[in-house]
Amino acid sequence: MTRPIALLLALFLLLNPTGALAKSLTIGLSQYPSTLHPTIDSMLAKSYVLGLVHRPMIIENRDWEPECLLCTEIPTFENGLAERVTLADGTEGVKTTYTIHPEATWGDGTPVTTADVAFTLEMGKNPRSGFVSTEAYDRILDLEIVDGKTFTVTGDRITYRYSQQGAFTLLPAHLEAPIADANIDAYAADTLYQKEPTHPGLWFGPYRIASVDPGRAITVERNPTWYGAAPAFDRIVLKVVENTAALEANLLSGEVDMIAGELGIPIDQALSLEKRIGDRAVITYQPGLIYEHMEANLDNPVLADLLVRQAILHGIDRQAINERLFGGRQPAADTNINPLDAIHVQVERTYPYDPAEAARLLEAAGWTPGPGGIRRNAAGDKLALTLMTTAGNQSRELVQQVIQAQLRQVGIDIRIRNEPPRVLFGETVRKRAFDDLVMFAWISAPENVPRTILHSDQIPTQENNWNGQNVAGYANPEMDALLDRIERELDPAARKLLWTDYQNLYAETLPALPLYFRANPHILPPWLGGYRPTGHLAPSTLWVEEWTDAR
Amino acid sequence: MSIAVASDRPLWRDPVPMICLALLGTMVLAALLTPAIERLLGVDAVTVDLFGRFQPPSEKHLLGQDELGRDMLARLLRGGQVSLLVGFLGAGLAAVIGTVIGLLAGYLGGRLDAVLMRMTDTVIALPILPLLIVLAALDLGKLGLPEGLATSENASLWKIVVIVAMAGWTTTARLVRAATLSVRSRTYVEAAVASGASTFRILWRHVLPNVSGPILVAVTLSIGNVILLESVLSFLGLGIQPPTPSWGAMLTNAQTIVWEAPHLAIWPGLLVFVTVLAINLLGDSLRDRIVGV
Amino acid sequence: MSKRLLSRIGQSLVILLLVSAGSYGLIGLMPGDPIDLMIQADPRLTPEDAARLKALEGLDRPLPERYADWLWNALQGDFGQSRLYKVPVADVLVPRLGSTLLLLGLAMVLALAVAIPAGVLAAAKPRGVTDRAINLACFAGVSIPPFWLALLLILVFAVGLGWLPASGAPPAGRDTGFGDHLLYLVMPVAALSVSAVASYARHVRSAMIEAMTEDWVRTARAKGASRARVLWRHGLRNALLPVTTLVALDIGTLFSGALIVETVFARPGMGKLIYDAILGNDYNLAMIGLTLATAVTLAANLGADALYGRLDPRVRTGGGSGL
Repeated sequence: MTRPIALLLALFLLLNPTGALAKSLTIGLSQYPSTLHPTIDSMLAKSYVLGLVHRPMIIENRDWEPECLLCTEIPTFENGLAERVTLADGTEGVKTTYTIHPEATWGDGTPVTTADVAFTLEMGKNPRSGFVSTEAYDRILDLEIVDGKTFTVTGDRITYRYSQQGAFTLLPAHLEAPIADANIDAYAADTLYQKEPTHPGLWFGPYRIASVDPGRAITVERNPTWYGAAPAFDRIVLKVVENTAALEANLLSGEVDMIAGELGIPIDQALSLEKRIGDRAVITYQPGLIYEHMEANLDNPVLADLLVRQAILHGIDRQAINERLFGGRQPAADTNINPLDAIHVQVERTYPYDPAEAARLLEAAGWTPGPGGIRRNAAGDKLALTLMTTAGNQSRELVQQVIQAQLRQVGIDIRIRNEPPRVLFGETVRKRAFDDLVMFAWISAPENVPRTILHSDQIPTQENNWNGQNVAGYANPEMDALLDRIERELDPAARKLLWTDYQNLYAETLPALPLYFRANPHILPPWLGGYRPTGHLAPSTLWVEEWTDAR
Repeated sequence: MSIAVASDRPLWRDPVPMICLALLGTMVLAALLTPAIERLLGVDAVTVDLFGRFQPPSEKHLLGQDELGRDMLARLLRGGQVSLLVGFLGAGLAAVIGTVIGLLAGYLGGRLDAVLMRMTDTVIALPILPLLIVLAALDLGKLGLPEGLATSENASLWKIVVIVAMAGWTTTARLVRAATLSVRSRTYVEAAVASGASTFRILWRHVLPNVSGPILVAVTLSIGNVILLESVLSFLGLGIQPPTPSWGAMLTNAQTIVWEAPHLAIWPGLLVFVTVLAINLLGDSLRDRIVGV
Repeated sequence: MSKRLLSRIGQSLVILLLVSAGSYGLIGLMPGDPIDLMIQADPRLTPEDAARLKALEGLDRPLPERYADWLWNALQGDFGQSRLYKVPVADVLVPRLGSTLLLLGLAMVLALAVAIPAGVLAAAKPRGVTDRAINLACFAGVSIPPFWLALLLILVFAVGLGWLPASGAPPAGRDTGFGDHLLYLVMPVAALSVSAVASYARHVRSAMIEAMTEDWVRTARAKGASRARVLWRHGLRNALLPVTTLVALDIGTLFSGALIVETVFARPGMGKLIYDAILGNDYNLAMIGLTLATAVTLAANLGADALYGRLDPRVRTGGGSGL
């Protein structure tokens, strides 16, 4: 019974603000984080909240460049903080050295030290800890503690992202180690991040968690031990409204000041809202790394034919879809590399809307007009394809129906069959159980090598226990070689040349059919300054101390 | 209790059921003639017109255009086909289940009767919608159903028919049981029993024909419930899946479009309302005459 | 406590057990899992990570074994953790249960306040003009799709007139009076009451007609009491008991209605919670929600049954009273 009472108390305190002049900001979100533990569970909502109260060591910033948020300098070969080493098995690894910001201190006054690094790494390597991803920790062969703030790690391979191999998200050893030692199997449930998320010692960001109202709201307040610039707001309330129509109503009635772009309302809704919002808020559309596309099952002989894939892309008016449905904010993509990414180049082969060209390509592939306007091949089979997507995603279902109507015009019969996300991703896509086409999005990071999506050894099969994400079944030796070389090339200029080859190869051979990159509508009050969305996975809250209040 | 003036008046002299019948007849006719109507008006339910999104009624599109610029009238007609089909099939299936249960309970009586009727009462009392959501969230393909059926575009239709039938059989069961109880003691049934006819034969040849009236009433009443339930499940995104339109499914996104195009939110719901009301009133008149409550 | 009541309690427990086993099994039959979705949302995750996390949550064990575990713990009062919210299920459930009970309670009170006068009026002169008009209105009430009615209310009062908030609950973390709270409740309660008014009014009407034929009502009439007095004082008093019973039996339906209304108005309540929990494979949360909703309904039925059965010996025979 103590929890509900504590909650009531927190609520009571909230309802009676002591500092009437305190500056506060209320942000509307459409998802509530399932946990606030930094390394358990992976959710956008959580990283959004953590941006206010916690900091990763290194992250890509708003210019898509790596930036030290907790460390003092990014280790590179040039500055001597990174060096090549020969490992016991004769292969080449890399050693990198990091120094934690000297003033970084947990909210209870305990400094952030290398002891936290050691604890985090130990937990990451333990499969029973419940960490969401363990690969990054498994790649670390050795940790050397230099002093309280400086440490060196040895990684088992050199990749172009070697600088970030030791950039862990730290846990407070002084609070969490006893809990993990007591019973590692119950750690995920017993951690203070679950039991007492308002404990100041869990946080070292500009803010710390002040109160938690499960499923509804999280409030953060200034953290006195914060080592960076002081943020403008004394308090930030994150209010969660899962229904996006209700979220919008909250904005219009002034109950939330802004709606997060990372987890707010879909773009079509924002476009309609923009018409009646007046001067209450400003909407910024930030294009990002969410790549909407159609995967084609290349085991299917119809789609294995490149001509058919090219014809499909020529047969879809992606420009009209963008202009009519997305207000011109989501232009057609040429490949899976976002134009904002430094490695992006304009590819030679593009696929503008051209039904005549689509028809020509289909003829060339042996599909000739048949009865009812649907093409048939020499054997008399109809050119009928199933297009799947996530049921309940309004925007995708609309695009899907447009694609169906447009492809009909070039003689392709598209049959729609949708599944709820958990079925589609949990079974159908993962196990390559879709017959023809499936439309969804990959979320990527800046200069991310899509090895798991395109390498021929990443095709999920029963034998490899459905490992890998190459769900199209794309196998191209040239692509395999390029992916390997990009990963090992440390010189940015040389890497960019390889990326150019990669993008042209992608556009030529169409491992997937590109649609567009999603843009997130950030809905901000006119008086909020200094706000800059990133466009990638890092949430805008990581730079909250730069936000200003012009009221 | 009927809104009829007097239930001894023949059905065709009573204006209320006649109006309802005419209305329903028009609906069914419209559903049957949909292709012809579409051809006549030069519209169809699938052609997407991205430049005509949310357009108000015009000469070509009598009821305006939806969020993809499709003709609203054609969509409503197609939606009506689906909703009525689900209504008839679902109520039919429910009637079969309910009749079997009602006949067995009423004719055999005793412990079986008690158990079956307790089951019926429970199903009536349970918070049925949350339980149906569990059923609706199941994926047919993984239940070992024939591949062709589970993956066809109409799979969601068959699924919803089964689901609504599982909730809708109770009215039939109760009506049929009550009627069977009164038929059981009639002389012709007793004569059949005396002549050594099998239970199945008695039920099939002697009881069933004499309880067909109550079954008709029950089916009528449950068509309305089934259509209503289908619209609710489709509205929640668990019923008929796009691109197949149904009146409920057409309202799935209505919350976000009420601001942009209110007319889109009005029509589908109005049609469900009118159809269900007409069916219920008709069923009520029939009940008054046939079952006499 | 009578033997019959004991057996009814026993039956209710069996039903509860069947419902819980059935729902657990059905949720388990749903393919895919939210953990698989995480791979989609995070490029760093691998299928091995998903398999490891599922094993940590015990999802790799056979379904009957998991159900037995759940049941055993539940019987000891431990309903487990919610997967979606990572807290004990009660922490999520209790605030939402309050919200739903408030909605249900208000809707029921409003529905009775309208239905009792309507039912009595209708029964005053069966088959009269008023009766027929009220009956038509009742049919309209049960025939209107509840979600559409809710949409219509939003269209008129939020979009058109701008009088009421379109959806949601009053803001957390801000000073709100009870008035504000009511403002958010007006449309949900109205939308939920309509079908309840319709069915309650029909119950009241038939109970009244029956009550008016009782001997002592006739006696009162013979003694010269006015028709209105007989109707409201004697008739209604006798009709209230069967009406209470029928209202209790309707709780399940009302709960289903709450789920729809909560969805349309985006109210954080039980109905919406169960819906999300089922789709999110949050076993513990879905199970407690479904079991609780079923248990409350069964308890209401049981109560009604006990009350009715004790006071009116005619229903003691049980089962199948026709319509």
